[in-house]
Amino acid sequence: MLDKKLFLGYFLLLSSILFSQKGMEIQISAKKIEAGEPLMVVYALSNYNERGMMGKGFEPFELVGGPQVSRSMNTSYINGTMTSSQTNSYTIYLACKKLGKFQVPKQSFQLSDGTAIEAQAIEIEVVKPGSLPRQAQQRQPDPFDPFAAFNDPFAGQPPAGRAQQQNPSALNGAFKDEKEINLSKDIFARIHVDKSKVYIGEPVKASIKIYTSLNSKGFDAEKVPNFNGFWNQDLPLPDKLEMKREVINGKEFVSVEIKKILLYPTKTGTLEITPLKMKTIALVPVMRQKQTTNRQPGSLMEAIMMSMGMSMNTMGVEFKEIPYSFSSGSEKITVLPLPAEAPASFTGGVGKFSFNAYADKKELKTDEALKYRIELSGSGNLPLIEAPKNIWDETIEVYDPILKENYNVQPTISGTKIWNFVAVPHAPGSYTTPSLEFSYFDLEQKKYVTLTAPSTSLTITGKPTKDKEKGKKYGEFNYAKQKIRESSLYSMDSDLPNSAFYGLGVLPLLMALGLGFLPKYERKEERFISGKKISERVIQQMKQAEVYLKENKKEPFYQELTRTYWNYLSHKFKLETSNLSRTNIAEKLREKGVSFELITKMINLIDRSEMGLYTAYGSQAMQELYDDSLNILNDIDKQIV
Amino acid sequence: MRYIISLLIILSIQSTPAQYAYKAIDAYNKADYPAAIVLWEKELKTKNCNKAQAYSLLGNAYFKNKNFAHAIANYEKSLRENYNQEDVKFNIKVIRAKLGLDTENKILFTNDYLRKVSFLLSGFTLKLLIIILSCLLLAYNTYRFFKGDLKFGFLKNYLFAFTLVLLCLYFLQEQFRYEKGFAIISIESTGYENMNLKGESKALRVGEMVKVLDEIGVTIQVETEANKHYWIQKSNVIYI
Repeated sequence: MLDKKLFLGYFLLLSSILFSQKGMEIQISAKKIEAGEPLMVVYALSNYNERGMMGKGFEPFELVGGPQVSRSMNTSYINGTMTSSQTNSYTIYLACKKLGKFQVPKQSFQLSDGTAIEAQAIEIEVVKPGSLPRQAQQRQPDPFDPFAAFNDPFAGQPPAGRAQQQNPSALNGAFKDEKEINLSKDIFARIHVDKSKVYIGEPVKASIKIYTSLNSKGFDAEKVPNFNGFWNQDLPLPDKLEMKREVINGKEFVSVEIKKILLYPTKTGTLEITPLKMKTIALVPVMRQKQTTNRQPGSLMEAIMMSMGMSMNTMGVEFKEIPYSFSSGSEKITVLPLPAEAPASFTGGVGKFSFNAYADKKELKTDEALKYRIELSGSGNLPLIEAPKNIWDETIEVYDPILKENYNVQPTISGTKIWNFVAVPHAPGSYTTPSLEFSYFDLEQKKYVTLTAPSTSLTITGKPTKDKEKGKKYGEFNYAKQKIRESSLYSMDSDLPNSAFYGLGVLPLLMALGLGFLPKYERKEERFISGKKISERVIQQMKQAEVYLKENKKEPFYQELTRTYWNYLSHKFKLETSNLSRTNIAEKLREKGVSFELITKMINLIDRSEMGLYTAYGSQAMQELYDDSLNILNDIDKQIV
Repeated sequence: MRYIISLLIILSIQSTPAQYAYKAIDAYNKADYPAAIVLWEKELKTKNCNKAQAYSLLGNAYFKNKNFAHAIANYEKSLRENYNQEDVKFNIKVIRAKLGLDTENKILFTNDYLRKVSFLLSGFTLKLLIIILSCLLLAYNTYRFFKGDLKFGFLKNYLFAFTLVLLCLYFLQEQFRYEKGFAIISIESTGYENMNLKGESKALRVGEMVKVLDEIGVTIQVETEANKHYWIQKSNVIYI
């Protein structure tokens, strides 16, 4: 409300000059309003010593705000006499929902002497909403804040902002001609930085301010500054922008800080913040040249401006709306690199930190989750710091950490950053949590500081569990970590030539195989009986008889012998056995040229074998007969050609 | 006589066993791996070279020389000569693991038990045993043929069977020893499904073992460990 009061103060300051004697003036924001639209009514009482406003009814209007009272005193010299005037103004806000022409009822003010004065009734026409063509309407979303025209270039949406800075001093320098207007010294913006030479990661506080010595209607950003090379953190501004009076080069300005930001350089070199470009419509006091056109005020703003204009007119000054663009100028910051010998555990932290790590258990089973927390707290470029490297045994499965950040942004970023890990051991044994190191650059000491967090030893029991992906068990042998096994043993190889192998090995084996299949070699037996060599054929014929002889089987022996004789002879004479008889044997033998003596022996032999069956001759006789048989048959064999 | 002696000395020097091997081991111990590689290659060309050990030591030298594909190739060759070398198998696994490959090579360790059994006895021992047993059998069978079975003659059948088993093992060993058609990828290469090196492709990694199926000009068709067939540049592999 400060601005409004300022504004009214400004207005009343003027009016006090005009109405230095007792008087009352009523100002309304519009004669024609839309239904529901607020109407501002100002009752300005000059030099009355009134106690206050007697809030009578406002029917058919509703009181939506006020009455607000502001007082102003003015002391002035006019024609050598000092006059002092006091003006109290009562501002009320009314709204009406009905359509038609209405009167704001007369309002009375009670004076200190008990009497009352009455203000006149004001006639107001209320029309349908939307039927009034007004540009300014859109810029007044808040009925109580008619200057909500300033668009925050950074927020992108109009906040409950403020627009018009006004300063009475502006009136002193009314321009004589529109063409001479040069506002570069009246409205400008500046980027302020608290340091121009910093280390990388060291915060720089920057603020952007608008300075104005004129009234102006709304500020719009055309181009916002570019913070390339910085990580930036907006600092909160008060809900309502704060206006300050500042005197620059002897001229009084109203300054508004529209942006406060913490910048953390992320690269070295000279970084530039590009200028902010804004445009506004400035209300510039110009010496009056022509009668201002009488027109209906479009808005409250305009109404007041017009009223002021009218009052100014009497002094020959009027306000011109001049569109004006201005720029803040760029700001350069030199970023120094950090010293070269950074420790291995340095991850970019600049500031002052403390660091620790905790495990929630010391003894656990396989597949049981271990909560592990890394905590980093302090002030500095915390948001830019990454989790310290933590290398776990590969049998412990560690999931991605959940990051929890808690910062205060003013005056610099400070707070804590917590990484919560969940680790699941898969193989029993004794392990330790990783021993962590964290290094940062201390801006005060201008050197690196390394902090360590102790590791916790873990005892894990239970059975090893399987790795889901590969189907391998944890705690299994890892070949990739092994060294190769080297030996420098070298011994000569002894080898047999293949020829020797096949000649001495395979060939004998095949021969042995072949021999194994052959029957036993049996040499043809030569028998000599009475110095005579018995032919093989005869021995073959007598083979079975010999077997019986060896077995001393008397009966088969003789039978076999007899059969052998007949078979032998029939084979010799190529006759059937049945055709042979004792008589024709002799004839046949004679025909073949066998000697008579041998024929007799043969006949005798047949007789002996036939008789032997029935005699009690022993084995001796059997041997004799066998030998004789061989002998005689052999002889016959020789004689028969 | 003097000439004969000097001739014998010269001969004995020429046939000095392992003339390069000891130099190669020296070079290896002095970390001069390229020299060790050259010397082992020379040693492998000599007679009576212990190929199993020489290939394995050559593989070590290649490994130290950071030539992993060649190291694997030589270890494989060493296993060809003697499969029962656990250190060599271990080294192959280590290198394969370092190259990011599966340590259980599906092609390399096929017929694992058969190979283990066939290499239980060295080729030399097998040969010697076969010769001795064969001669013994032949002698006995000859005796038996003429003179008949001896009292313990039944043993010859068992002996015979045993010798045959040894012979089978020997031939199996030979089969494994001279098995051809395998290669190690030495340069990371792209394998294509079509022989004109087009179509679907897959990157074959260094150290992977492949079976060579076909060869046309400069391209060969290989079967990868995943039983897929691809055509690749012949120059990208080391035959083993």
